[in-house]
Amino acid sequence: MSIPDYMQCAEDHQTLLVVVQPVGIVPEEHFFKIYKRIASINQINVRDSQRVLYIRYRHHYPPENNEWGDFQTHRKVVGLIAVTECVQAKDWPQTAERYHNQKEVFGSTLYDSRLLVFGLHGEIAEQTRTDVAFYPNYEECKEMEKRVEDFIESLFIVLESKRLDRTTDKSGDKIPLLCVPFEKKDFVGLDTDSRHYKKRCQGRMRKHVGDLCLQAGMLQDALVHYHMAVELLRSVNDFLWLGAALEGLCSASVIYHYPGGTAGKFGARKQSISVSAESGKRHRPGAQEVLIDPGALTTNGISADTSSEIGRAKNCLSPEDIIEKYKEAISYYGKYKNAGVIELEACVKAVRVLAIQKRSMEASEFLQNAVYINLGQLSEEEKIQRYSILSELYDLIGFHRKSAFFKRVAAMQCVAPTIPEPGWRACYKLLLETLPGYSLSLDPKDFSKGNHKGWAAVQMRLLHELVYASRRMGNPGLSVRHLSFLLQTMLDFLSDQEKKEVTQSLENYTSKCPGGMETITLPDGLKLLPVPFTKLPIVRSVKLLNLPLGLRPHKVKSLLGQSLATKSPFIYSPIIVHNRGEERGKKIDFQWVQGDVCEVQLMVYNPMPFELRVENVGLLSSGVEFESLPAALSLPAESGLYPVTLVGVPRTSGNITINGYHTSVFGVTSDCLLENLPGVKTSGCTVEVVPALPRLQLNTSLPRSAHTLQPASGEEVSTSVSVQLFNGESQKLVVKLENIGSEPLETLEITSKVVTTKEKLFGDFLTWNLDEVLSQLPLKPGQVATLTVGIRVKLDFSGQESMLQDLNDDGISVTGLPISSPLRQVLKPRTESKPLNSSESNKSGEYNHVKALEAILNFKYSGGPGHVEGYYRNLSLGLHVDVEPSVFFTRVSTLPATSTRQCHLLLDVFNATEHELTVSAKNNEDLVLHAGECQRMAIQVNKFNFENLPQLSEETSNFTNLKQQEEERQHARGFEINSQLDIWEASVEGVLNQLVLEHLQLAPLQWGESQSRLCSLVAMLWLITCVKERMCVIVHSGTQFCLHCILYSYLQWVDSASQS
Amino acid sequence: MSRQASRASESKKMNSELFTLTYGALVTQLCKDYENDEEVNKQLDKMGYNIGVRLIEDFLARSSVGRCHDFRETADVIAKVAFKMYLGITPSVTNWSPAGDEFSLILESNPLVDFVELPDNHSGLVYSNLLCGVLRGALEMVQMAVDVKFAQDTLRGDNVTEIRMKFIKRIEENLPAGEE
Amino acid sequence: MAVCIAVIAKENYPLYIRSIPAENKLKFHYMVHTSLDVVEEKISTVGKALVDQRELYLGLLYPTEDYKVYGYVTNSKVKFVIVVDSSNTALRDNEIRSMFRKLHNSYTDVMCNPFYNPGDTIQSKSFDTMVSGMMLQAC
Repeated sequence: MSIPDYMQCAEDHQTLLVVVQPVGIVPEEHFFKIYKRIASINQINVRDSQRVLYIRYRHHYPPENNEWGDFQTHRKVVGLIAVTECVQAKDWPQTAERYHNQKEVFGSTLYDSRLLVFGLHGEIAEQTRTDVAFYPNYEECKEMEKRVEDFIESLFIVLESKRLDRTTDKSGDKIPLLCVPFEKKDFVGLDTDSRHYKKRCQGRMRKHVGDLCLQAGMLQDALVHYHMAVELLRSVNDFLWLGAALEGLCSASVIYHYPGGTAGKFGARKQSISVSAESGKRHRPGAQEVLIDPGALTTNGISADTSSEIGRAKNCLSPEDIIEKYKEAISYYGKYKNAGVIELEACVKAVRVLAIQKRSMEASEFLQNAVYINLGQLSEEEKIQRYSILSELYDLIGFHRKSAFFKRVAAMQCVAPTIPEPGWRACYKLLLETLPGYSLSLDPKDFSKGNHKGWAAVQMRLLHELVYASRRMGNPGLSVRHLSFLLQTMLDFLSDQEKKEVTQSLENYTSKCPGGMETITLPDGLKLLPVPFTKLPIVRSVKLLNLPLGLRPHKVKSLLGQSLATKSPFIYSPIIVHNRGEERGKKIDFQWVQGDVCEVQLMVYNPMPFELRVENVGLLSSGVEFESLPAALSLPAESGLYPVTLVGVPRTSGNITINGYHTSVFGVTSDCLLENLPGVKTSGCTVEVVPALPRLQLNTSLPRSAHTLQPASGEEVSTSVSVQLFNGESQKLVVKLENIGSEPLETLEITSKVVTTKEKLFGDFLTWNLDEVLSQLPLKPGQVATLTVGIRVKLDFSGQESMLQDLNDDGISVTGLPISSPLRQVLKPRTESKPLNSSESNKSGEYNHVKALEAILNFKYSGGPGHVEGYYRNLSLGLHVDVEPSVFFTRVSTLPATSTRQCHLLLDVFNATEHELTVSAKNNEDLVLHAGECQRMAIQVNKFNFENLPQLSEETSNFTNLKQQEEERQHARGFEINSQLDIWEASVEGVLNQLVLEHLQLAPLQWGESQSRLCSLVAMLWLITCVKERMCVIVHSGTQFCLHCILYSYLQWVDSASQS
Repeated sequence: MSRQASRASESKKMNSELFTLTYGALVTQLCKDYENDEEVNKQLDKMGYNIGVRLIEDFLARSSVGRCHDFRETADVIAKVAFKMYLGITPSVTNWSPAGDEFSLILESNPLVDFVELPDNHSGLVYSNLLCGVLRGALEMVQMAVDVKFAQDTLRGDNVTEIRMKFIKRIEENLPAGEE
Repeated sequence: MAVCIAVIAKENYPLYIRSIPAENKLKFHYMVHTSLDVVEEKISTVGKALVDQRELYLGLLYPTEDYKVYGYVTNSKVKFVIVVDSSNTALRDNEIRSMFRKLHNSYTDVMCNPFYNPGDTIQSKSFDTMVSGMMLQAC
């Protein structure tokens, strides 16, 4: 006997084995339909008794196993039901012949047999035969079950007669020696008359009778017989049969204790427990026939009270004893090499019992033993079966890891190299079943929480095997999925070499079958979820970027204040603020604009030891229709954090949420959702998209500036231009406004703001005429409007205080100099007079110092649907002007002129440029100044005309009042100058204030007239300089400086022509 | 009973594992907070200093050690009395510089580093740097400015732990004017 | 002596596993992994019996053809598994016990290392050395 039946269990010992087989050609489908119907009749209450017969059906049974029928009668095929199809009467003889041949196979053991013929309608003469039943077809066979039951009853009759026959065998008759196939040759020539031999015959027969009783539903009798057999066989050391007797005892006891059966859910018995328990405990009529000789029992050492307790559970083994006896039996079986199958089956049966008893440890010992039972040469299929059943049994006792181990071995066996047609599908299926045992789930989400904790080495091996098996199955899609999973979840455990290998093979697979995000459903319903590569690369943070400055939309503040705040009647609402603690759901406080490219910045790094090429990286979003513009990137090996900017264009307006990103790495496309990535930092992923707005682009006549403007009041500037001008110079800036968006530009406002606060600036720095541009609105996409902005720089022309101070240091008093030395025409710069002064370079540096002026031109514009919604854009143009010094008036003083109506204004003019220049003043000679030269210039000016005053100033009344007090007068003077003159003028006035005026008042040239209040003098002069060498550089034909010098609050404008 | 007497007599026992783990927790927390070994060393030294300036009072009260005559004597007191008292070990004093202003304390075992294994990413960490601070702080309170640092450390694979101590100067007592 | 030594976390994943010869690592992984079935079973039965004095040593978990697998479980449910060669019959139960005790002590030291985070794989050099010592002995 070489083929073990791993499904066997203890209660099978009480069954009768019936083989159901097709004869001739029977369609498989029909056969199994019939087989199922027959097999449903697996237990029968025997007529007129409470005994129950159990039937075990097989459609296939190896005849060599049948040869062990004497050893354990449930292995004996006692019934045969042949199923055949016969359509024509003339075929009948042939069919009958086949049936008889079939019977021959199990002939030696058959009690009875039946033939079920389908297709004939009773035109056969032999239809009266009891062992043949005719049915017109497979459907019309209602009474078939009845026939089977009758058949079983006939089997019972034979069984019962055999049992009675054997039981009543008295010691007087010669008892035949039952033996198993391999024993036969050993007994040739044995002394059959010895006491030993006889005892052996008796023992074996007892055991056999026990089997029959068990089959016949007489549990108690069986127990008694088994007990007796055990005693007999033990005394003669007939170990094999002793084992069988013990096992019989165990089987009977198991049947008694566990009426529900031990086979688990597969073989669960239909009968109710009560029936079985009853049948087990009751002393049944049939038992009386086999009342054993009480004397025999006592002599065989069964405890004295057993005789009186016959029929009770007394003979039954306790649950603990069952296991002990199984152990013993198995140890006896183990002595015989040829009884391997019996031993193995006994182990399996014992394990099933232990599983019910929940004694896993002992069960595992039995299984451990079973693993090492050598059954000789096993076919590959038998090996698979053996490992599978081991796995199943381990699972039964709760050893899931061990179970997985054997299942995996079984899976490997399916594709053993010796198998001509490896069963990759079966292998794959078995491998999948091992997953729980290795605590491996194929859902990548289970791995996203923290560090992976598991048996990485064995899990990785399993995944590799799944990959290989699925490839050999011819399903590269599965391979890609499993390999992706391996790479994603086991990345931390892969060595650098393995990372390379895995990615290489992944690329090989994906070249044939690209990996995607669809769920793969296996035929058995298992779903393989997609594996997004969230670690290739690893994303650390996701940040939505605001639009570039010039493109940011602003909301027009409604007069009614009904902006965003109107959403809630409350100023503060806890519901809005705390609506969700989650950062992700947080809305960002800037907006994107429909139709404009929007950016999201990811910080990523590459964990791989080689360059990682990520293709088709784009954004995943919801809400607004969003056109993602994918990018490709290449990250160096084990890169540090690396910023990646992903872009896209919202096509509609509303709220947009960036849910994640998609990538394509090694041919696998992944959709990585942020909600599954707890490690990613983000400051909100939802942003409002406002309706489309026009887009303005500025082109200027001036070169772009490298300067970044000082960020005053947080304003940033998108573009800036720069120009270099001499102090006092003017220039025109031509700004071309082009609408490069797709919406018409409908409104435009321009404002300017000077950001430099360090320098005093006089006069209008920037001037423009907006009407010219406004007349061109609306500006359609692609159209250009031109704006001319005048730039005029006027900084302080006065020499710095230090210079004046410096002069004082020279010992020349401010008051004294102009008066006492009017002849000194040339005022040498200090450099010449004091060349050794160490601070000389610093001093002259002050004159050469280039001053910067900065201003911002704001273009506020709107149009299109965004305008309707109340949004506008603000484009700023930064203007940076480097103001080079031109001339300085280092000293101012006055000198009385010949006419009392006039006086001389003396100015010390210093040329701070590196060029020669000419200073012209009205009615005066031009003064040519070399670079760095300082000369005094005298200008004749009219004295203040008192009569002119009222027409000059609206403040006259105030003014006259103010004459009373010096302080107030100064205040008014400042006011007047600031309100009516260029600011620049005030600067010189400042000098005058501080120094000259006071002196003038003290000096004799304080031409007093009669009233002390006549103390003002206004001088106006034009100074025109020509910087000879720079003519071509400067846009205008000549550079013109305007210098207004005032002595007091009298003004007079004098026209002057520019000089080329 | 005067406080001093009670201090001198009783020496409470503390479980050494708890002590070691407490120190370990301190250091690892610093490592987490500062992410920079140099900074952690500095913090440890600072903490040690703060311990030292206090501990010296306790030490003097307990040990009733008098004024030391020279740096050699100081070294002996530190090794034989102070270390014994607070850490239960007696380091040996060796490697005197010729000038006698620098010596080494050789610790055969360092109770602070029981169980500790420095991970590779903390190669710059001076785990027991607190000790340096303690010594520096304590000596400063008795008018000695010293420089203390670890020259060898078993944690870094050296055979012994060596604390190198260098005398810098005597700190003059800056008594406020009018005190003397 | 031992051919494989493993430390298994409370949650039944390996904190440390080392075997000699190194080339057959996976085999021992499987062996230790499956031995956990027995460990769990033993722990649960011990729990049921409410044994006051918990015996940490679990004894022989199971023998295979070539090896014997022994187990030990701390009260914090950390498991130690030692695999020894079956041919090494000289090894008595007491010696196995003392090996486990050594392992337990060393593991405690690892836990006391302030730089070790409980639950991480053990990378301690001193633990490694101690394990190597147990593997090399009489090998």
